[in-house]
Amino acid sequence: MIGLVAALLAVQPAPDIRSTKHNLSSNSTNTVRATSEDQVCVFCHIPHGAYQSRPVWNRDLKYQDNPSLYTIYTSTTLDSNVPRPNGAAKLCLSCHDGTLAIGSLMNNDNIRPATVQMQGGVTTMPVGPRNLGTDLRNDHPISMVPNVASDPEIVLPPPGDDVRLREGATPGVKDSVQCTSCHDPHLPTFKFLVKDNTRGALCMTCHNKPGWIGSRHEQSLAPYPVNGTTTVGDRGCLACHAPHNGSSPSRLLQTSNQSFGTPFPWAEENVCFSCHQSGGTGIDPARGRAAPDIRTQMQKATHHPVELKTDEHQPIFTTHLPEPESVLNTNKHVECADCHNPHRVQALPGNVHEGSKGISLSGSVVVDDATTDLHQYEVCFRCHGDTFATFIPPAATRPPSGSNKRLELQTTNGAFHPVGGTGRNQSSYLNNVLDAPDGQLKGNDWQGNHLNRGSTLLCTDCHNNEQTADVNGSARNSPSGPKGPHGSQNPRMLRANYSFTVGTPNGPPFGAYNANNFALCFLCHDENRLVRPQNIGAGSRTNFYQNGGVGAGRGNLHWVHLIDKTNANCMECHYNIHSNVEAANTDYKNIASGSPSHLINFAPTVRPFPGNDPNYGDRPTKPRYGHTPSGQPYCFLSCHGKDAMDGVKTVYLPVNP
Amino acid sequence: MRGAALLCVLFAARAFAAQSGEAGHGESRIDQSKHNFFGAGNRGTEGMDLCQFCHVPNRLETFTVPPALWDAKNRSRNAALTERADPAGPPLALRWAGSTLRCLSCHDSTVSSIAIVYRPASTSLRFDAVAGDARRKEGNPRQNYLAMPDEWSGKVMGNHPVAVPYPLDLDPSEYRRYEPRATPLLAKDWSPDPRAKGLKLFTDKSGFDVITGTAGVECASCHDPHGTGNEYFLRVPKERSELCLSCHRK
Repeated sequence: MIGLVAALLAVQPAPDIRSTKHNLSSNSTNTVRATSEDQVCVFCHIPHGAYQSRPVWNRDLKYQDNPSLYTIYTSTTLDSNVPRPNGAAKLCLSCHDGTLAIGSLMNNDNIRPATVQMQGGVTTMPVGPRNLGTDLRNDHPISMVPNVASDPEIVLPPPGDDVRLREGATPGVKDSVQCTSCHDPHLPTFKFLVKDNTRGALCMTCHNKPGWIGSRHEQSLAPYPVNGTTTVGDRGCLACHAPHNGSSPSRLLQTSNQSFGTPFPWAEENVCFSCHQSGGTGIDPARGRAAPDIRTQMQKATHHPVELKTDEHQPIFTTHLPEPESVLNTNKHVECADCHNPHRVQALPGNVHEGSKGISLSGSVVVDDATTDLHQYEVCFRCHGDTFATFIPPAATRPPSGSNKRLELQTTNGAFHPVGGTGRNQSSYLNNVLDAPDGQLKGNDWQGNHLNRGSTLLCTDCHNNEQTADVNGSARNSPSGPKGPHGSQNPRMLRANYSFTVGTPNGPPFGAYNANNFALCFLCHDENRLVRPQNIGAGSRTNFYQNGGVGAGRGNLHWVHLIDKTNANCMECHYNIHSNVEAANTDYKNIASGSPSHLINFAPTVRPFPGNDPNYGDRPTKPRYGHTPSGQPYCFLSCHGKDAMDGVKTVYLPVNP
Repeated sequence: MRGAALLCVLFAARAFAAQSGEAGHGESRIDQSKHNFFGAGNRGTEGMDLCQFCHVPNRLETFTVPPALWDAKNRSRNAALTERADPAGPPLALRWAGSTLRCLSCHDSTVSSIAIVYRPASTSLRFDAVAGDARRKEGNPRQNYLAMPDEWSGKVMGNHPVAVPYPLDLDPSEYRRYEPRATPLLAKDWSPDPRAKGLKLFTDKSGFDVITGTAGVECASCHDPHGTGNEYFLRVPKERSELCLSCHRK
């Protein structure tokens, strides 16, 4: 009985090449098939009169002897030498390069050469994704011996694996990647693949991508694309890469046809936008959300202009050394992959820069790896550091903060917003002992600590999607998103509105106080501390303060400037809010270089006082901020047409320790 | 039970082959074939029949045809045709021994002056520099199926390999000192026993019992030179590639 069952099973014809697209015979139902020739094998093989013997090949490959026939794949991250196609690749290309007619055979029925008529008058392979053409630059390289010594991200397939190296240029040595390494043209499998490529299993037989397993993209359960039948994670490598006919000239990137602000359909960002747009993917049930819509961010009033350049970017997270593009970026462009490594990226609150490289505060290259996380600013320093002048407008039109952020954020500077480390102002008045609004800083937290004088910030606490202004403190606390310096409706990609209007030498910028002009500042700095009048309690003032009887006795001097005497802008005295390193219009008197200077650096419209400084007897050529010989801070300058900052009335209380 | 199952499989396969109507298999039509060099239907003349183009009677006392039947230019090679392997000893070194040699004696153009389609001198059998074929000059004969020794004038390129092992019952044994080229041998690629389809396997151990571990493919595996009723002396019709698929499971 068992034998009978076995026999019945045995005579069932198993699916074979006859059920595939490679059955070109007239008996198939394929679109590309012969009109009357019913042999299957003959389109590739003939037992006698073949072009060559291994295997007996029924197509005349002589045309491939032309050394310039094929344009060979190249890549700046490729370590292997890619020769002209050899071995089995030549066989496949004899149809798939679109040169020979599909029915053009060495021999058929003792007619040499023979031509088999195809249905519908098909001659060469119809134009489409299967026709690779003779330009092989957008196809996975073939016929090369993998250079595993130079590239730790390439490994040889393990013995017994369905993916195998094949014979190449060296006779008898199976050392090369050929079409047949991944495809068996006889297999009735999906795309003739030798094994299932779900989750990139086939690709990863050779491509070792450390950090991919467990990365956000690998873990994603979001439907790809929306309403798709697979998930982003199951789609694996193919979610972004196309092993054949990729739209990108190198690295074989998939792109959609959603051209965005560019005539280039293969623009790098489109690879990301195919998921990272509105409706790009369905909801990932593990996260309860779809892929963040970055494309919308990139269409906002100010954004990192990924659309401006195509083919400028080279990856830096490759193991290929030296990096095809220096980590300190000298080539003006920005692409998604300048900040994110898509093979390793984690989603917030994880590390979105996992696997990236950056520039440290000291100017050295730093790598985000399994043991070290990059600081966010280290990513920014790639362009906004030592090579900033390449990336931002020329000096004549440069915004006040357009300078070298690496130098500006050095922790030895006299004043800086505390990105690179704890700030210089360690006054208790800057401290936030309780949550807002009692503290000077509003003080939500982003690392488990309240914002206080010991806190550090992220660049993205000020430069972020404007929707993240829905909470005080760090943008990381915002439930809105997507976060990050992708784009904002505010100038300079600011998280909240901030007016860049400064006064003239004759008058203030504003006719009245309006908190919205400083909304950005007030996300962290308590507005009440700054705009309430004098004589508020000692526990709730700033250091910019005069007691009655001292100097002019005006109390809260921020209030004086913002509301009481004039309607100034923050940036008239804090012109570059990043640091005091570039303070071209400020004369620091009796403040040693590197001593705390409270981020005071004056706007160009602030003028020197027309007279001698009574504290020192000299006449500075710039607006002066200094300490009197006895150590009390004061200003000596002229602004808004008023020469009231005379160095006597403007002495205020020493910094509260 | 496993053996019984195998028998059932073989029986079923044979039955299937019979139903598919392999016309002409086992049916001798030599007189109607192109191998009748007198012409179809002509049985020959007195003293010379059509068989004698290839065969002579073993005990014929007076011989009316030249004794060098297979290689008129080098009679010493004729020994290869009659030398038989010792079943207990190593296989013959001469890998073109056996029926394939008999075919090539005409079809390699070294003997025959008859215009034959597939002979090496014809343009269809060109030599090329394909990497694998180039090995024929590099002295690894155990992997070199396809070329005759050069002195045999044999650039027999572009032909299906012969004198090669067949993995009968999926046993990857060698044949005539040649190992299976595809290692590891993938069972999915081969029919366990193409004889069920009407093809013929040979043994390199002498005798007539083709058993697992001794089987090989020669010209006559696919062709029956005495005629089959199919085109090209094929044992199985080439239509729908049934011939190829009798061995190759692709």
